Amino acid sequence: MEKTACSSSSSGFSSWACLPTDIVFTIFHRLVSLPDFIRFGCVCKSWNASTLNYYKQRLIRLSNLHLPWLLVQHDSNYKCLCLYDIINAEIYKFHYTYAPYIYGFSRGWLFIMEEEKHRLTLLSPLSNTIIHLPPFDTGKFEDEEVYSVMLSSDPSLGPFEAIAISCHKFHTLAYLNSSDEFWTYLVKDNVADPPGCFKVIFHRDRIIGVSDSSGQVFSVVVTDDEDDAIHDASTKCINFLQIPTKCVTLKEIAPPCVENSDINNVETHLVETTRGDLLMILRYFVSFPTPLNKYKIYKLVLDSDHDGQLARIPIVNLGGDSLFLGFNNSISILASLYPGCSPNSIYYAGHPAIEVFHLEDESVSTILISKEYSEYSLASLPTWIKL
Amino acid sequence: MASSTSGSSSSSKVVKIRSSDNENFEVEEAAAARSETIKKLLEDVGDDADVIPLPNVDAKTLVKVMEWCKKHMDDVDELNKEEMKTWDAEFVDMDQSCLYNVLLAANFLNIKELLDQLTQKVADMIKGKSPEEIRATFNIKNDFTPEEEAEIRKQNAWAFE
Repeated sequence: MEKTACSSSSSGFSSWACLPTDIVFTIFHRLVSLPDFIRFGCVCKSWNASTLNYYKQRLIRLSNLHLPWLLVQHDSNYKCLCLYDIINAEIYKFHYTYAPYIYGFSRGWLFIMEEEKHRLTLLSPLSNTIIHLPPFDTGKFEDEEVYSVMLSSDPSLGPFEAIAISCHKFHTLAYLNSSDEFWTYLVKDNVADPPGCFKVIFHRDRIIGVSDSSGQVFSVVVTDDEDDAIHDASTKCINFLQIPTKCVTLKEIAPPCVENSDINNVETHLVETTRGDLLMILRYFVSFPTPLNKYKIYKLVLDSDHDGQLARIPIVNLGGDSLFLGFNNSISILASLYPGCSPNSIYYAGHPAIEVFHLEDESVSTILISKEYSEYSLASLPTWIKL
Repeated sequence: MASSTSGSSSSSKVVKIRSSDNENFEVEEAAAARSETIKKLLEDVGDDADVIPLPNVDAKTLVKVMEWCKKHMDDVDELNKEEMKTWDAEFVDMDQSCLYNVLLAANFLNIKELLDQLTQKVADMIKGKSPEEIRATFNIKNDFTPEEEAEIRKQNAWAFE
């Protein structure tokens, strides 16, 4: 047996730091939780050195293999932001020097708002990197009512686009390309039929929006030339500082599909499956006479032509996928890769519990935050985090 | 460790092994052969074997390892699997210095199943602990400078309480 140079035994410490590298590896590979794995490398120099080469790869692999975490908040410590592991009932904590308000999560990044600066900031929890986005023009966009934020791609990989939706007195949308210095705003024409609150998703070079209550589907069209957009009667563009840069318009590509009687009992989610299909999920919630929640799932099939309409094809099976529906961002995963995850199921994050809807037999189960963590509750905008 | 023929093994052939501190042990061959290292040595020397020297394992540790080998020398049927699991859990529940020695011995003697159980035990002892707690558990010296440690923590602030 090879002995590494180790003087610790003479200094009253054990020889664990001198464990042969192959054994360190074996132990290291048995750590399946991301924080455990990170802390392992921080114990001593020798363990750190043994794990360093595999650190990044394993970090990526482990985070890929972890089910989405649920964003939870501590009831009194607002500076502490926590992730809840629904399978192992464990909480991992982030600490900030200020109280962050989370507006959403997309492509590995959290959206937080810097107080009084009216600007969204992107925060990557794993690398602790921050990206400041340009401030909003508060006259055109009610940034305190930001409802949803989405990214086209992971900003650490290169250029990206972002969409923020505000939804208070009037609903509006702000678009940003990472090369832009300003957000471009959409303001709906008062005469036109408003889409109400809506959600958006970047899907194959297009931006698709859906009305939260009616299932009406829109294409969000970004053009460089204002003239192109003026022909669309339903919307008009306001150019920031009269500089003709970009123009954002909405175009209906599928009419409402929810009965008027249901319009107050429905919420809509958009998600891309692991196979790259776009799904629209309608969640019906009825509290009387008996509480009943049901889901309708549609596959959205887009024409390659941007002006083309869209077909909604009802589906009753997600295959091996499971969906994690959050307030403004939904995630799909291949359930077989994640021990403890029910396949063909919908994990809906709502107050006070997570509802798990099993499509196979339409049964419903719930997951509550463990009693051990009674001082924690779901974030006000229920959010799933996939690092 | 005295040899015993009370086991249900079909073979009661006994082999002699010697610890690093020169203690001799008689062990049933079926138990000793759980160690790939001993098994290979036995094959190499054949029946001429007198005592097999194990220069890396002291007597105290060897007793412990052979206790495990004896327990595991027969195939376990379904009924006894639960019982065996309990026994294994109790077996690996030892203090850190003993655990360290048995772990190294299992590695040297090449007893894969025991190595699996021990490394799992160590991993379980690490799970959920901060680096300070891990150091305290295993009595490991913190050899990072404060600056180095601060830098590592800064990079992964979220993983720390």
